[in-house]
Amino acid sequence: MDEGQRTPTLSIDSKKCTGCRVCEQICTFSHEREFNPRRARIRILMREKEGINAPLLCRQCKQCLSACKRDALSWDEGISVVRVDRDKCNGCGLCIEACAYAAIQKDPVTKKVNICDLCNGDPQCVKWCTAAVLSLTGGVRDASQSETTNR
Amino acid sequence: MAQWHGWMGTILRVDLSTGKITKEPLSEDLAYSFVGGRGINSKILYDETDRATNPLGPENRLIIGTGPTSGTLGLGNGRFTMTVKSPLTGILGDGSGGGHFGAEVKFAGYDHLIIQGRSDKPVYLWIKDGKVVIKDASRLWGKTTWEADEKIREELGDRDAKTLCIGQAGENLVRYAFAIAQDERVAAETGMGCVMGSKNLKAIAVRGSKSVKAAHPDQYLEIVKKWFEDVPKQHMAALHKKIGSPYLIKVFNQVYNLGIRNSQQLHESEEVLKKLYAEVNMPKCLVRDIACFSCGHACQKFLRIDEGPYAGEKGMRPEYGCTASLCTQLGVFDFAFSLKVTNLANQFGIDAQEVGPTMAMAFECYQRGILTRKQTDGMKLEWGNRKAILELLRKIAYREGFGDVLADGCLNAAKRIGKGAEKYGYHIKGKSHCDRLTAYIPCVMGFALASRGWDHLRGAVFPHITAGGPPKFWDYDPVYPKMVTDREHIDTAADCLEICKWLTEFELMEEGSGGVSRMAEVLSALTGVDFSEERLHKVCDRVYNVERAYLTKMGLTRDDDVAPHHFYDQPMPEGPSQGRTLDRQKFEELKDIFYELRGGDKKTGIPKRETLEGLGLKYVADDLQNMGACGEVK
Repeated sequence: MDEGQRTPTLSIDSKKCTGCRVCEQICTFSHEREFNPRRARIRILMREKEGINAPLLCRQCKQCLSACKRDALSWDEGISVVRVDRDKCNGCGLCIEACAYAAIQKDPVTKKVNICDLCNGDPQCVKWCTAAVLSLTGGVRDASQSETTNR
Repeated sequence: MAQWHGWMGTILRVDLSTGKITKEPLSEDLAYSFVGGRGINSKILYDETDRATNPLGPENRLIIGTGPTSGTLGLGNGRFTMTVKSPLTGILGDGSGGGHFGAEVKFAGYDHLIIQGRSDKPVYLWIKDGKVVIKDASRLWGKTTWEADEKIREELGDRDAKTLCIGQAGENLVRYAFAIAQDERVAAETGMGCVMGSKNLKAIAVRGSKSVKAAHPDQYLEIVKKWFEDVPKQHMAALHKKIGSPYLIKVFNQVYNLGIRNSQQLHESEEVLKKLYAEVNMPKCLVRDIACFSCGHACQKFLRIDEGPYAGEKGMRPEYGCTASLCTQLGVFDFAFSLKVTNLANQFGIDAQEVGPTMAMAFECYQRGILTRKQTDGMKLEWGNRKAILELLRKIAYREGFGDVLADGCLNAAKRIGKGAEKYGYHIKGKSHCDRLTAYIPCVMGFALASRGWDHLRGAVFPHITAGGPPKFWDYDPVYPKMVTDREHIDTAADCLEICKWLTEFELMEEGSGGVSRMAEVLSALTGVDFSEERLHKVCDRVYNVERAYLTKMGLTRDDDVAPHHFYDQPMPEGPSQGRTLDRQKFEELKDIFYELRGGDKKTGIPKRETLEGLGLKYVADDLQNMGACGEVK
């Protein structure tokens, strides 16, 4: 299938990432109306001594769906995202282990997991990113990352 | 207290002598009167230390302050302030750093940390939300700041923990040793690392999972969004984002005010300087832009040198202050060396802006035969001798040989060297600086009147940068004191909210207020407390007066509010100002106006009782009166 035709996905150019973590901040704010990077659905991996910053976020690969034993994760065909049923999730962490992109965090407040929902098709992190790291495209096309993290 | 917004509502106090850990509620009165960061820190320092406090004794306080905006979304929100009674100057000492440490303190649930006492063995503090542990640091002692940071995060098994470390300089009580967050974000001035070393405290590591809340989330987001949109439009913003502070080398050189070879020279040819300019040399070693927490402005750069004698050197782009202090003032003009030497200072934990001028004093003494190779452990302190600079930096960090002489600061070192060395050691209130800028009077006023000694971030108004219009030199315009107090308010507000000065006094200066009105707006929406611009100005008045009263308590008078002696007695060596000096009488007249504007006594500069009482600081007036420094109410 032509990638351009696919449902919108976040594209990452991690070489440009400054590590400002504005994406984490706006993500938590949009979903929870407060500031706390640990509640974000995106996070920045930082290796300060090498000057490396890399956004970790969901690529909609669906690996986590089968890992969940409680049927708390489901696939939303409409906008192609994983949905978390907070009533069913018990924060066991099996999906966190299954995620190849280290993109799932356990929320320290709810004790359930948070997974990127692309803000229902209008991702705020893309809007707020000041370094043009994130963009909304038809598919994940981050050459620098996909080779190393895509096991 | 109901729910706190912006503030977390807790001050963490750790006594390293007894191991006692207490969580004290932040009082509304303190929060509303001093806001946070430097403001609350200075108030705590005023209350808990006095003239008898030994800066290196267990009774000194190490206060770390975040601001209400720390940890929230917003430009330049990554700052924190450390405050102590300074081992370098014996007065108020504080240093402000950036990065991610301040935000993490908030996420752990605290607005301020107060560390007192002294551990009998090396320790570090591990703060993980409500859990606070004093951990053994024996195996970290003797390590550089970079190694300590790495080892601590390894030991804790948490790569996302944020650390604040000292290096060998802090351990060995170098009086201007600093503490550094995340390898490069330095709380540099006036010896924070030295006080940590005196307490046997190698580091503080923090990790938090709590949320910072806004009282009016939507309104707060709107203001922040506008700030994000407005900053790139300011005329300074693009240059600053691209180059960062090192563009000042060129600016100061153009006006014959770049300090070279201990300020014996104030201008250098473009031919020579182009080897040092970041504009010219940075593109070939630039890896990427780096930001502090939540700052889309991202003015820092990660660099890697690929060729030449410093190939393999990597780290953050040195700031103007580091480059001027450790390169031009020592006669080196090489961009790669500026990274090498700044990295070394950062690893040992030494304030570049203090050690550079101190070394420059020694180099000039060597030039003039006051110092000989016998006294310098055989080192040739010749201008531009890179090997000697690097070696001397190491010796200072370990207080080894001649390094020990320089480890107590420029003033003390000059006294120890003797034979007239003091003539070449430049300081205000015991603190050195790399700048000369004598010709621009409002800038010199800011230097002279700053509460922590020679300082460019507390009222100094700069030529070509923030004054607007062409700079006027050697002009004692009576409007200058007002320009300085205005700038003080911008800086103080920024320090209390803990917002970066590049995003306030510099980037938003075209708004006139430098962003005080915007900061008041931010504060109101965030905290839910109605901070009008006027109310925020009152906070700034309070901070000024508490700091001024502290200096008075330490025995300082208006005679200490002076420019470095060479501004008065050494004629400008070259350029359009050649032969001129600062006019002491005219400068003192401007100070009279300044003190009056500040509500102080015109003759002494000491805050008047009515000023203090008007700010709710009656007890400060009483303190001063008990010392015979503050009069009765009329």
